[in-house]
Amino acid sequence: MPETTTRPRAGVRGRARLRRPSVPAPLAALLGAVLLLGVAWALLVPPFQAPDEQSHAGYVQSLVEGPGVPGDPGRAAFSTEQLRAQDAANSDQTAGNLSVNPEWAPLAWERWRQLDASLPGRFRADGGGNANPAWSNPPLFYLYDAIPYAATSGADYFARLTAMRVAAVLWLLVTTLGAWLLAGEVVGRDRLLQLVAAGVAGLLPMVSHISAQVGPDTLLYALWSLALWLGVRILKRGIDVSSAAALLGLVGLAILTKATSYALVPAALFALGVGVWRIRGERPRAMRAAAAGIAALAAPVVTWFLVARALDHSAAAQISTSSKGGGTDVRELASYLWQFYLPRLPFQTSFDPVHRGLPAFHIWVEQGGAAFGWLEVRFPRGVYRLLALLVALIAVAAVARLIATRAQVDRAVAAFLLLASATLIAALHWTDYHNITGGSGAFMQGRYLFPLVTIAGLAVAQALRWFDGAARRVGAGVALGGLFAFQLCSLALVATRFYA
Amino acid sequence: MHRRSAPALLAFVLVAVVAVSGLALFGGGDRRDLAFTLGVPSYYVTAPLAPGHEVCQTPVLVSTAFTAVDFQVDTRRTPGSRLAVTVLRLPGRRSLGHGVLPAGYGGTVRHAVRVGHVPAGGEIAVCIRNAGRWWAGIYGGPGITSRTSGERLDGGPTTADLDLRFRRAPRSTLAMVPEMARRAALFRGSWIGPWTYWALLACVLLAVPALIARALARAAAEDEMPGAG
Repeated sequence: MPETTTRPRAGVRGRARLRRPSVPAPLAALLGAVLLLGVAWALLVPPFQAPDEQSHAGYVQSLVEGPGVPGDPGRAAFSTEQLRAQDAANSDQTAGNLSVNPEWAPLAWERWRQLDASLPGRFRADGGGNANPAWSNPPLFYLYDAIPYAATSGADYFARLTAMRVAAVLWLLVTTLGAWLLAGEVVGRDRLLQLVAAGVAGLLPMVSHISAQVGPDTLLYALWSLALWLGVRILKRGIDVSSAAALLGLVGLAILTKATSYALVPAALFALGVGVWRIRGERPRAMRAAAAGIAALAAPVVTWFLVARALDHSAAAQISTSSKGGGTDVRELASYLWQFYLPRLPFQTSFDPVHRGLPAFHIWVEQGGAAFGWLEVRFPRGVYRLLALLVALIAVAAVARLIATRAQVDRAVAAFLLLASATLIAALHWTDYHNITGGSGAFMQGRYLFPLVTIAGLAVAQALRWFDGAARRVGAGVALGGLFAFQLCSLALVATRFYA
Repeated sequence: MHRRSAPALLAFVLVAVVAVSGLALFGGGDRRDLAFTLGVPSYYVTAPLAPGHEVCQTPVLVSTAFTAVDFQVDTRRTPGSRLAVTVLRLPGRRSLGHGVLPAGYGGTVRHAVRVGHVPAGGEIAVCIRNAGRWWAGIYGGPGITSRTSGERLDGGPTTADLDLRFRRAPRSTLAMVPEMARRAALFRGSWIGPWTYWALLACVLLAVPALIARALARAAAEDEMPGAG
């Protein structure tokens, strides 16, 4: 992806020191659009009709109302108040079932409001058990979403849920900002390409949907996008104490958000290592940068491990569970990978007897492209075939551009981005394989790729670099118009599924 | 419009207009007759009705006015017994509507029985009486599927729910937008109402494309500034 920019930077940086930093006008306008669409998603999707939202909301309520970080085996998964809310809105019956609708009767809503108003406070605090599937997650996102929950604690349950969703949307703006900054480092100060790259991250409907629910993924995407930008920045501009601490600190925070983020550690250490190696002649400076980076990574992670131990809570349950599930048979693992991406051969044992066709298509394209609600709200199959074709075309164009301009490619940056992508995908497959062989069922979901959405944005920008002048501007207009159209159709699909 | 930004803006506007027009056309042509549903699947016969027997689903919250009740019947290879459908207002059991499925339909299929106009609001009981000569089985699912109502066979509660769907005259999705806004505004918090969704619709259809167009125009203009490329 990365082509070295030949534009002079010193002058720009020098002027920037003298001016108060301001948000570039194209970015500000894009962030406005992303915010409006994010709020639309937060208010359109019915309560608890997003993956595991009831579990994440239960975690936040347990933090605010008591007993604290969930995981007590002697308690119920969710509070009485939340269970009554789920019941009143017909949430559990609607989840994943296209023949059922959420509650549409105004009378049911009125009755629930009267019931909730008369509910004693202790029924908000009787959840927090380890039957909550999210109990093993680290707490960072939940601590964040506890703020809007607490701020609206005088309101009814659904108002608190809505406030938590809207607060979650703010991280989508950070993801978009990270994509803009990353593209700026990679393609230089090319506003159209930056805009397209940031637009992909901020306007993809599935990213909006997941970012507008109560759940840690929105913070995960934001932290990954900033970490990828900082990693590239270190590789292009050099390392110092603050950039090393910022990069590794972000990785530490990402680990406190979701265990998936351990996959970011190798790439971050690579950027730190290369950065330090390049200034090895200045030994004290190199040592300070390395120490700052390691300390910034260790501080949040070690603190969380100590707190988790004190609370008798798992610090990285997902990782320990996936490494225990089943053994690792190399031939079986290779067969699993083959079947994920290629048609199964006659002598291979099926890993996915449920779905016909390629898991890569079902999961990466269908689920990752547009599968709303609990993944059951989808477009007709033909839409996904078109989407797969489009993604393949963009990928081929981006890779071809890299090859054509390989002399200008910053190899360290390319290696960093490749390492981050490959580690995440490998970790996902490793977990999926062990979950299946361990009897826990398939783990993989399309949205698990979204921490890399800023790299997808870079790929689209890279593909556009085949064009110059007016053709490139038309390409940018079509790309953003296509994203807007995709958003519009997705919102309409969700609205008709739940309310028509 | 700046000369350099014109191609980007024109391309964006063209795609956006095609998308909005396409959606409007689709919404105008997509017609639906579902008023509301209990959300119970037809898993098995939950109400085996010998001649003269009756099953009711009660109490049902009427979220939307309807004119027909739709359910699935099994006839066990008989010609199909005459079934009488009654809609009763609760409390009091005053009749709000009545309809008949004439004998002779046979097989295991869904039937929509017209019962007259039943207005939205309040609670009802929907009763199906076997008014014919043969056995008839009404389909439904386990009792947990409808949270607020339950099946009663000859007055006694069962552990099942009837699969009832309530129909009305077909209308386009576009015509249903006000109704969809009212439905979406439930279970959100007291400060949110249908007006919120009208405001969101305006934002998504007007403000969002305007902001993206502005972003494109400014990006193209900034790329033209000295030092940019």
